[in-house]
Amino acid sequence: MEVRGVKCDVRSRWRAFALLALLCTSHFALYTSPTFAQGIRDRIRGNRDKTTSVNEAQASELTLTITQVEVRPIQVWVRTAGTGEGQVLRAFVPNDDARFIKPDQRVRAFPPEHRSSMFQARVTQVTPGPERAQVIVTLVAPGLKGSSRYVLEIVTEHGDLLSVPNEAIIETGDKRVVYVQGSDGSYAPRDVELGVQGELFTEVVKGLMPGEQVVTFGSFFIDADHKLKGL
Amino acid sequence: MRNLIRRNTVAGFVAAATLATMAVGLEAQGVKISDPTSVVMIVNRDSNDIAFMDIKTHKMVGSVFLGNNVNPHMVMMSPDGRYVVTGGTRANKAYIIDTKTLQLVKTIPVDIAPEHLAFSPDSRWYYQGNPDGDSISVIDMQSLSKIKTIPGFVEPLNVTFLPDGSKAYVGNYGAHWVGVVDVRRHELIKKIQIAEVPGVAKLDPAKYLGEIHGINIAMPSPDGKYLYAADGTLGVVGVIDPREDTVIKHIRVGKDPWRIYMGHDGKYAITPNNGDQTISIIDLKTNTVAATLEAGPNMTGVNFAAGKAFVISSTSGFVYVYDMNSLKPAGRIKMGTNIQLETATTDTKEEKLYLAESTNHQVLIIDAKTEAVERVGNVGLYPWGTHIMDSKDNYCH
Repeated sequence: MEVRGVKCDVRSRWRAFALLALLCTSHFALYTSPTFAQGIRDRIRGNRDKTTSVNEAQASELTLTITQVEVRPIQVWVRTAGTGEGQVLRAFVPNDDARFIKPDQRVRAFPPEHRSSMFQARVTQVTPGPERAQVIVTLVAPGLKGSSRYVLEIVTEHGDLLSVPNEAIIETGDKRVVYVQGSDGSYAPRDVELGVQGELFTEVVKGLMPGEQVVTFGSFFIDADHKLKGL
Repeated sequence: MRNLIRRNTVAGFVAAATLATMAVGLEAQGVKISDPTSVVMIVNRDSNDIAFMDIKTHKMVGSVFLGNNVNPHMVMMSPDGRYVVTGGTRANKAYIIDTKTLQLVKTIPVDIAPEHLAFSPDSRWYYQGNPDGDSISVIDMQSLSKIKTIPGFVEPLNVTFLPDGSKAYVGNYGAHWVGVVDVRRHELIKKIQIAEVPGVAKLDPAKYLGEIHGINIAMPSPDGKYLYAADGTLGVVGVIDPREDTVIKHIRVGKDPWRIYMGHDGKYAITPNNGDQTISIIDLKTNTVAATLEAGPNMTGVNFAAGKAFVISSTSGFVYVYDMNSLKPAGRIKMGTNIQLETATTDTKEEKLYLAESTNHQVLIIDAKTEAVERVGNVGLYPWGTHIMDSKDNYCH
């Protein structure tokens, strides 16, 4: 038997068969390995860590700050417009917001003409309605002469809740993600379910435990780095 | 019978223990101030503490010791009422106190000799001025940590934020310019020269080339449209348009104006001029001096209440009073002899002034209407300044 000018006897045919089998086996192993299953691009880019590391110099440049997940009071400032004569002002707020408004709560009142002057006020009465509640607010001192309209910020307390700073939360599509610091100093994204959104802090219903450390200022950069690496 | 007595005794013990536990529970909660608007804060420079006085009863509620050789300078409450902060001038640190429990929750190293400070309107940022470090330390009130030090100032004394919180303006007492800080990036983006040193500087080098009494504060007008900055050495007030960050007008006032104070009704502002012991009343509509009136030496502050302006003359022991309707002097109140008056705050009802008097370690409460004075002693050592949440007259010297 002659194959392309090479003489083949039975022994050499057996050797060729053995070589072919060996090649097939090694290729099968290669194609079924986890590295290959990730795709050629992934194999070329190497096996990467799923977390993002930031060294001290980078952290300083990014002004990276870390905050503990903990139970803390959450304030929501309900913003509305109030009108009235003298020190008594009347405002309307949606019932959802009105649930947390109670007499004697603190109110910050700003006349539109005086943007940098704040007048202190208190909630004196809350009357629920079918859709909106009427809130009566009384200024602590006489207001601005000639001004009958005020922008009101009613400071409502929602109690002590497990929370993270608002800036720690990154919205990606319909998901809410925070970056959690690992014990080795790396940062990994974590999906979270959120509750009450306050002025500075947002309640975390699911996804984080008290005592965990999350990235606040600088989370955007961590997220960008994470995405650039395609993690 | 004995069993019954024993049972009753046991029940009594249980009840007593329960009550004791409840009491301990309440104590453990440690709520000392439930309403942040109900107290006057007092900075005690030499006892190194912040003391709290109930506005209604004038009784001391408590105090927070900061540490030895701290020398707190100015105190302020965050707009959300959650924290009280102060800068320790000798310790080079910022101190953060929980308002409810009066616990010192954080001590943050800042730059050299921190004095005056300000909060962004949303409570998010606490800017601490460091006059000897020529910098501003930016403290994040979410993580309670310093995230940046903004360099490039010259003896920065006071910081003011625009109502929308987008920019902060820094008065440089060692220069003739106001620094504009982009609050988003916490960067000094512009220097607004209030006025040029005149060409006659060569003729009077002691005045113009000596130690500069520059700009203490850039104060926003109540309508937020303009900022006003008085320059001590140059004796002028520059009116800044924050849209362009340029000076649109110069108003010449008396000699060596300490700083500018805004009236609450938006009509007038006052500069106490320590160089010639006068005050200049500026009409904010026309940006002109409406009146120049005699005052006292070493003026450290101006408060407004009951249609009057109260000007503190620190070394004379007098508070000078002016009628803000007629723009005429309305007498003076003698606070004492051989005393040192510091600064005062006005309550939100605009009825009373709370003036710190350091020599006798007391706070003098002035009824703005009747001008009667009540003295509250033993507030701490060397009270340096007072502060009430949301007061329109919260300042320091």
